[in-house]
Amino acid sequence: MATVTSQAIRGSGTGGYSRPRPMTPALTPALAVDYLRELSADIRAAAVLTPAGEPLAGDSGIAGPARELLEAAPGAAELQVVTAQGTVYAARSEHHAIVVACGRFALPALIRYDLKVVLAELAPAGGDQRQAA
Amino acid sequence: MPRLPRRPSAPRPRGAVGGVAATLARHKAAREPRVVVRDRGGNARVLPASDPLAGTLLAAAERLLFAAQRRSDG
Repeated sequence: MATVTSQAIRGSGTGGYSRPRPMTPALTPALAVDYLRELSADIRAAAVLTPAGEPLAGDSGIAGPARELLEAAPGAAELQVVTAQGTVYAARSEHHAIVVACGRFALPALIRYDLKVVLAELAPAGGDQRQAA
Repeated sequence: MPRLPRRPSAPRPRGAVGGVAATLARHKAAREPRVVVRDRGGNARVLPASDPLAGTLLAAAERLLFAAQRRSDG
């Protein structure tokens, strides 16, 4: 016989309050692009794609080159390409990929962290939450 | 085993001139094309300029930056 309420709840087969609840992703791809641009003034353009390179949201002008970038290095989780005009960063999870174009003075560690955070927020519940830790 | 004499190197500028020269060298190095690839474990690998993958990625990045610049101008 249960002596406390929590034991009674457990005995009835009902999940407790600490049971993980299904969550919808906090960010949609379109919101993620806006969020990234809010996070850093150094980001000139951003696009969210599928891991295979299909555009989901963001600047349509960079979708083509972003896809080429992702297709060229299919095994890479992150890319950083520095040129005289600026730097391109890309990060990829199992569910999404993000490519951003930055100016020359963007701080690499900050941009990489922002990309990881947004990728984790984009991922379905229980997906890549650990990546941003 | 006897130590070999240190190999002579070119003299480096010191003082304020050396500081300015080092700053300019750092800025120049920061502008040079560079490709860094990280795997899922976070291990970074800098691709040599002779790597064909580096050339492909640099070309795609330049097109991407050009498109981003055109978009912000227009």
